[in-house]
Amino acid sequence: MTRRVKIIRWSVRLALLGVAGVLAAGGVVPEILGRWIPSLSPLAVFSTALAHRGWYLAIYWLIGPVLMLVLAFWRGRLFCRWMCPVGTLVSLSSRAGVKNVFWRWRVNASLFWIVIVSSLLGLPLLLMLDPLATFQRAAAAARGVYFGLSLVPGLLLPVLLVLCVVQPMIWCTHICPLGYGLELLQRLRRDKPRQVFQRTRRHLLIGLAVGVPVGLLGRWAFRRRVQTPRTPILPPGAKDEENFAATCIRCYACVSACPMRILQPVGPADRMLGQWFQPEVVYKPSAGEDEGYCEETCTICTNVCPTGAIRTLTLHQKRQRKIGTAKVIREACLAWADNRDCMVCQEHCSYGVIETEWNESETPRPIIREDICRGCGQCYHACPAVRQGKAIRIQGVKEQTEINDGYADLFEEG
Amino acid sequence: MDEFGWFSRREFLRASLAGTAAALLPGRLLWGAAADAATKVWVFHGPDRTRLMNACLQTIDKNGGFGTDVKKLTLKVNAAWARPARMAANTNPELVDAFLKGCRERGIKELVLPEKSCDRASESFRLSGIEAAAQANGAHLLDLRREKNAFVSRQIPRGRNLRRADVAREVLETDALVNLPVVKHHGAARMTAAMKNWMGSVDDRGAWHRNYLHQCIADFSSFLKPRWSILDATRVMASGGPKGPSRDIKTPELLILSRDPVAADAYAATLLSRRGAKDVMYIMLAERMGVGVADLEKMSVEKIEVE
Repeated sequence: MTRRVKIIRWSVRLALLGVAGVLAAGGVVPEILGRWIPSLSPLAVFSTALAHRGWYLAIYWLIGPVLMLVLAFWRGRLFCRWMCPVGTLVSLSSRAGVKNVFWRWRVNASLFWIVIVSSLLGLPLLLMLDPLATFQRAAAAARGVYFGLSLVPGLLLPVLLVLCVVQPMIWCTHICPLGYGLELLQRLRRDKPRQVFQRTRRHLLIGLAVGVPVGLLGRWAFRRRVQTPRTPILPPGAKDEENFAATCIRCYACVSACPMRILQPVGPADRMLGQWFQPEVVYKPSAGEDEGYCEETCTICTNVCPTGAIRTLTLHQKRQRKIGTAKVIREACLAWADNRDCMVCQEHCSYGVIETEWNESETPRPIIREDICRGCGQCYHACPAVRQGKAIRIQGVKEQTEINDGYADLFEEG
Repeated sequence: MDEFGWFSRREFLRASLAGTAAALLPGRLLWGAAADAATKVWVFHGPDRTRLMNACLQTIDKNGGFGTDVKKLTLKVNAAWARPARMAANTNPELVDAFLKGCRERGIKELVLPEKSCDRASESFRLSGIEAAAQANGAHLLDLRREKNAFVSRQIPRGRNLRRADVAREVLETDALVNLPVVKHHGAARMTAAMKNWMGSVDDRGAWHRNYLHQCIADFSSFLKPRWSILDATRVMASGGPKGPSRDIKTPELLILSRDPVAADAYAATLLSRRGAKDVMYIMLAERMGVGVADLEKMSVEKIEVE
């Protein structure tokens, strides 16, 4: 490679890294652009489509990943060398380190086939390793939107950069399943199919040996409801617990985008293997005044999801979506326990699901109609009770449903 | 606590001290103290909101206006909810627009609309249409949550349950204070209109709910005296309030104007229940505290038809 090409290549890489950084970090640009980076990865987008057994995104979101496939068919790892933000970071950190090769075994092919096989079975494994999702996730970590054990996936990028100091380029050449997939496509064009098969046969077998049992076991666990003690509250647009756990690639574009800051990756506690580190709705008593509940007029998480784990919802569909159920804790309630005129929960409810029962002394007390409650958490957020903490508890639902409350037409115009 | 003599004596002392202080204050800070023998309430009726507001402003002009030498006017609207105007959860933006235009025509330089919304401020201000109305007239719609040092701690001298409150600086430090709420049903307070609208100008609303809401509303209205109260009853959410969604929306097409917020609220209460103010405890409490008149018999109501 001539010096001039080298300079051009590095300028392109650094420029694209900068663009990717801005898109992922948000702030200056609309949060919704956080979707663009993970949306490009054919591995993430197509394996989740396999797991969905269908395509759930607007058709133009096919353009990016299909272009990537064409590019790879024609030029193999061109994307890795010229565009991938993780590739650029890896190259930079590799320059800083020693030039030894300690680890020779390439696991990228096996990882690739594990992803493909388990996706075919409906529960993609290790999709977290997709480099573009990894990049987006690190940006969310850098913004400090999640804490504790849930930071583990966010730390993947820094850890592999350190790895590359020890052995140059180990991520790209030895681990990255996307890079292997791109390379495989180019080989399909250049070599005879028989040769390609012979070279990847062993990895395919490993993929089957790991992917099939784990994929089947995972689905069995979901079906048997070897269940979480607490049903998670998933973002509006998630189909069900299993589908969401399977098709979420943990890019956390939704976590970064949520203006109310209620989406948060959860650690492995109380969760099945497939659900580890998935983003869930967490209502916190400490939330600030302009955040902390799932706002009636907001659909941004449903618009940023690159895989359809969160289906795109219209504002109208979002209003109808039930993500949880609120319950009044009467012992803590200002009206029920302390006989105060409160009803702040009823006041703030966007959906008019809180009814009033009057006691003998004409004090109004809240009763939540659980069948039409959406679980948005605004009542929880507004509840002024302090003696025993908030007097509202929000529980998750096994499967999100659409509520027709008969008010839809009021919201139609304007 | 009234059972203990010394407590009411203390209250008496406090009240008389406050009265002495009030007598020493410059006149324009005082609120229409017994200017008319009977409390006056003007009720404008008509289908066109701009004309209603213009008629209302003319009446204000004839009855002392906003005071003398008014450079800055603070208008407290209700823009608490992320709801469009047709759902009647917020003050109607056409009224706000007409009022602000009128202020500009009367040479008032600075117009501030402080609000501590219930829903997210950006959504509430945008959807209510009040942001657009303020912008069109160069007025400043102020999000009290984002503003630094927006609140000042004040004692409520005559307050029984509410002794102290963090009150928006903008409603205290102004030449003229006008309340422009919307009349609607309210789950906890039964009705919200003039007096309850001030909850959107204090920092800790929760304390009011924990500490007997009706008394706190009455307490606060003994403290804060707006120059005028103009009540939007053009569209009234008659049940399911204060946020809705509600199908029970009446269109009385009224604008209620008074110097006395208690009287204005008492009149508005007749739109929501047959027993009127008797159903809304804080109105009765405020009357008992001597804040204003709640008995319709004791006020002179002038009805004005606006074509």
